[in-house]
Amino acid sequence: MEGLRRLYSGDFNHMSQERQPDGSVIITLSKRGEGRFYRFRVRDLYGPDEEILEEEVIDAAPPQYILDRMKEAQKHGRTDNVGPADTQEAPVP
Amino acid sequence: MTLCVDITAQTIGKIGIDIQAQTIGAIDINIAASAVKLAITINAGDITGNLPIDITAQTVGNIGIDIKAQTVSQLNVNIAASAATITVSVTGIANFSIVAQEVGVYLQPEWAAKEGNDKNFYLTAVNMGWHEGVYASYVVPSGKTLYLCGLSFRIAAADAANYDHHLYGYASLIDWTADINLATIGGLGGGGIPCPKPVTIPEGHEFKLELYCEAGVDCHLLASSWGYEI
Repeated sequence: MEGLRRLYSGDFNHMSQERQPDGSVIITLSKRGEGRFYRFRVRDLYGPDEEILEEEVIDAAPPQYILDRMKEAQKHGRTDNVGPADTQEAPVP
Repeated sequence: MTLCVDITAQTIGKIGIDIQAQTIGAIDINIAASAVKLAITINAGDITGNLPIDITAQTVGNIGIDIKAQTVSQLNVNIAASAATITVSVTGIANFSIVAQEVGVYLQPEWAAKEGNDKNFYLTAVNMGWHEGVYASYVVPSGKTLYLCGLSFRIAAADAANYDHHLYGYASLIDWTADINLATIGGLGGGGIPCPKPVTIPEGHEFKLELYCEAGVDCHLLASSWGYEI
């Protein structure tokens, strides 16, 4: 019900809707900086018989290896990509 | 002639002073009482020269300044208080020159995005046939107003073999409660419009982002609209 609460209170920055063949709609809400999506399917949206059919919270935080690379870059005072493939400089001919 | 007055009484009820001399060289007033109420009314039709005001009281309740001069050559205001609220009401033209490097000026859409009050809506539909449509809906919460600053859409053939067909579609912003079509854009393959004057949806009204296919073949469509809500 958290997704529906956020919809009715306007507590989100992004909302996408996908109409389904059965008339229901899949809504995805997210708020900047939270690192998660609220995705739910609802029937009779805004109608008298509104009903949540499915709901899930999706973790949208960057993968741990990305976080590790960012942490490593900050430690060295760099802000560019320092992934393993980028740390090897091209040989000088 | 010199008139010296030295009052050392601990309390004085009232002193009335009525000076009718045609010219007065100088009046020095030094009030050291712990609490003084001093009402001054200046009725001069014109004050030339300088009027320096230096207030060093620790707290000042209210200072009302009403300048009715038709022209003000220079008005320097230097507020060093740790916190100050300034309300400025300007009638006519006000020119501001901001030269401080550390001052950022934001228009409301930019400020709303910075403060996290921006709203972005997306709508997708697949395998839509001739004049089939879908919509995304949202009811503006109580106490808020939704301001929409732009609208865009995209339409593409569902089947790669139909890429060169007449792929026409359109998208609309609708105040469903008020039954008003606020903005519509159509085009081949898609299109987009910014709204310099935001489209507004009041509290409690249902807003719909509509998307229609008007191509002769099945298409995939998507639309987006963006703005802020305060």
